[in-house]
Amino acid sequence: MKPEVIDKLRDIVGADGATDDAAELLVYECDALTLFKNSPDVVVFPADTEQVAAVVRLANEYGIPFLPRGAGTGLSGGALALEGGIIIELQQLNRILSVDAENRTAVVQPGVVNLHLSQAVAHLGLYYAPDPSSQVACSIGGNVAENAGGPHCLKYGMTTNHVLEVEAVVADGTVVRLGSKTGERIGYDMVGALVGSEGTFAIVTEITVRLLKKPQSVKTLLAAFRSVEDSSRAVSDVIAAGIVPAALEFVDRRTTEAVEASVYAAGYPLDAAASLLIEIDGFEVAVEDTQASIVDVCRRNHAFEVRLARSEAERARLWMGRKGAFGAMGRISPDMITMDAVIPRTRLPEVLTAIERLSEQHAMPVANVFHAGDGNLHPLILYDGRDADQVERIHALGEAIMEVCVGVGGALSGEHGIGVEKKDFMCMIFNDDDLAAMRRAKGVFNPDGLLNPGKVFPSRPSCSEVGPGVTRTAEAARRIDEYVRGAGEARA
Amino acid sequence: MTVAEELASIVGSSHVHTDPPTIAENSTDATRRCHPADVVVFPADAAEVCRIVRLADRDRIPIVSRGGGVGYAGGAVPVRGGIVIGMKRMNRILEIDPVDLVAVVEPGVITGDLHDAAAARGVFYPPDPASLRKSTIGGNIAHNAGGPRAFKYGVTRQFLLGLDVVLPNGCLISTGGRVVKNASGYDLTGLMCGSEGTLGVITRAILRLLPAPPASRTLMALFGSARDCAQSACALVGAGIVPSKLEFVDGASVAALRRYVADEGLATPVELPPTVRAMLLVEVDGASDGLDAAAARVRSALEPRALRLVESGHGDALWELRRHLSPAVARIRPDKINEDIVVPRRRVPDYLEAMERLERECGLPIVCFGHVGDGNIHVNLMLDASDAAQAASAAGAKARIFELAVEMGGTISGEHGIGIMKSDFLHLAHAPAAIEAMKAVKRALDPKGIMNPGKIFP
Repeated sequence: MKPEVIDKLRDIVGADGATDDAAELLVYECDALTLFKNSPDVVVFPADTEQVAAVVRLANEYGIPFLPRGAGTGLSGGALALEGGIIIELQQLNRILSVDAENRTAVVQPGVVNLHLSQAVAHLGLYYAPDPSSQVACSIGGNVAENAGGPHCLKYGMTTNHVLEVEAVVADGTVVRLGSKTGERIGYDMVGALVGSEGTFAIVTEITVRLLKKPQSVKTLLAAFRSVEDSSRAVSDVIAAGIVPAALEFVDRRTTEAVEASVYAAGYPLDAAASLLIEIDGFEVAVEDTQASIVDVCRRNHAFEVRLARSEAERARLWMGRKGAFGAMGRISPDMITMDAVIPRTRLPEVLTAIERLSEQHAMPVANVFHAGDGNLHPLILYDGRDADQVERIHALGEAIMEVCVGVGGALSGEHGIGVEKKDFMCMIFNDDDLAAMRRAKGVFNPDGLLNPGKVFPSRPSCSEVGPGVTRTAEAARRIDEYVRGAGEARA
Repeated sequence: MTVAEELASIVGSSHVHTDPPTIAENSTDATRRCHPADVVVFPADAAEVCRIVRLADRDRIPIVSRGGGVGYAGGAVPVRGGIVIGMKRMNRILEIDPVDLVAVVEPGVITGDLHDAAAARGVFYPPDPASLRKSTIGGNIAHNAGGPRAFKYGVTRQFLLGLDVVLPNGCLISTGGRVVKNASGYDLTGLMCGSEGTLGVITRAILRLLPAPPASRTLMALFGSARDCAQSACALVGAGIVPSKLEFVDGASVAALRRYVADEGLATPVELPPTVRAMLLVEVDGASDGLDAAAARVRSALEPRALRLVESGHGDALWELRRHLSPAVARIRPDKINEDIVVPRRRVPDYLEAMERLERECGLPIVCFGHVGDGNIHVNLMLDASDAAQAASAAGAKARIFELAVEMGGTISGEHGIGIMKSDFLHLAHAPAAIEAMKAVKRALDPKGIMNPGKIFP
């Protein structure tokens, strides 16, 4: 990058507001998807919207790629500077600008840490519902870019359901305000289009979010099962009973072992093939009724233990195991990749069995800890990044797992996004016409493609070049048949 | 070959219509605005829709897709003529899966028919616009329709998982999928939902269902003023109660109902003496053993301000009374301008008082009712449109209806859309840059401007 660009960037953000120091740039060569790395040329730390816009205009002037970054906790490589250029780090924009308790809204800057918002409004009896596992670190701007979820999205919806209005700098440096404070979408749903566009449409600089009233009562249960099938059936039966738990999480044996051996130990039963963490909230009386129904459903599906958290401390401990599960894996494996796929809830048993078989076949351990209520899987592939052969195998295993999920009518991602991780998998579910429509949508905001290049779309212009799109799905279907049949035989 | 002949070669000649009665019938909606289409076609499937759209794209012919024709914004009025694609033959419910809680439907399915089919399988599709016996799922998606249950369950968008859409260039694309959570690529499903038929023709929809709530209970509260009524609704919501319906009607509505039941000699579940100047209908749903407690909470939130509370047992009769509201209001004046605004919930009392003042200023009756939980009020301006003075007065009042909503921190549409009726007021809801961004989306997907032209944008 030309030194004059760095100088001009420093003119915008101040001498301390930019760095191109090689050692400092190391931090920015990847996000939480550590499998892919590339260093930006420079990182800037703007202090306000106008500085963001000025940096963007400068990048346009010189034709330099640029992208926003929040906390760097994304799992699909959204904050990876694939073509170098400028990373616009938004962590300085970390103020909660206003809270309207009566209308239950808050206006925040993008660098506000997810959990900090809930903490800041707790004294008003309010909270911010989306709660990704990384909520102690991840930023709301990043959540907006990726349409982040979390356990409680089962009942309360994803980030997109909680964003009312945004101010954003689009790719040419124009500042726009989209949506409305009441949340009504008048004309096209531009907020909906922006949320989940993975930092490829615009850089969000201010966000009005919906806050929720804290429920009167919250209960958390742990149900332990001897078989994955029983636990999966319990999941479907809970939903079919008309119960909408606040969260319904699945933890498998491998995850339990890692968690229980770590600082996150939560007392999950080590002899369970699978445990469900079920949370319900609402009015006290209603919650007690629902709790009884859930215990009943779990018992009918042969839960050998159903345990209710008796205190806030017990409840926090049960959640600590779930939220710390990813960290706990560090004890049993030097590296891991957290996958993300969605399947119809009813296909859980066969898909989990298929994943287990694939794991054995590729000789790569996989742990499963995920949002069962909405069918959102998170297979964790454990590997050692120093072993090139293992790195090869995870790519093959990841693709095979995706094919299984897509084959049962699933989707590529529930909440992590496509990024670089899954861009070539897009052809598994979309054809060239579908992708062309998405490219046109991107072109509205980012016509020159300088903003966050190389994301979301397959690496080749046509799916037929990536791999034979249609036949690929047929091939996937054949393989799934094989796994599912095999799984059936194994059960019999 | 003429366009009509080409269309006949696509859908069969019996499904192409150019006769004036069929044209007239398919060229208007609930706004009673009318501009004749050149031709009306009824395709059988997505492949036929693709071929129709390709033809329109080639010859730059406007296309308007049409569901039940019950919209209040003029979305289905072919203001530039062209081809109306009627969806009445694409009306199959392709699948209801009560285990995965998913339905797959064609766009011409009547909303109420889907409700019935879902109920027969023990499941539930919540969006319930007032016109549900006539409106179609395709039309509901085009306008992101709501209804009373939106307060608890959300609007159409919250139940839409995926779409098949024919784009203006004739390509059939699929968006979203058959799963309840999806971050695979850009959210084109959301972009299509509420785009009022201006970005594509919907040919199939994947919908999310819920298990049917086992029971429900209704309470009606009568009030001496609209302010008491609106404040009670705020108290109810503030107490954390989430009713499945929370419907309010104002004093003019109550008066119209009173006259209507008397004129028709109808039995009524509750007396409506002149002291009653507003009422609130509250429905709670859920497991039957929890409803006593829920109803008690509702009562204690409403009691401080209500003149009287009437409880279920009469549930159906109470809603029956509410259903008389539309014909009752229609007797006030021959025509109505039905607007649909939103204000923050706590400003509802202020807005209603502003409407009372506006009524005095413009000399036309104004009737308000709506979904008070969402702050979504239907403002009905009653007039005789053939009277020029009344029409002029109404035009001025209509602008004030929107301006006041925006001044109070609200907006110009809750569930009816913009169409042709509110396009001149779009600038009240959005800054120029936001409108430009929307126009850029329109140009990107419909560069020739053939898809429902003349809508949304002024």
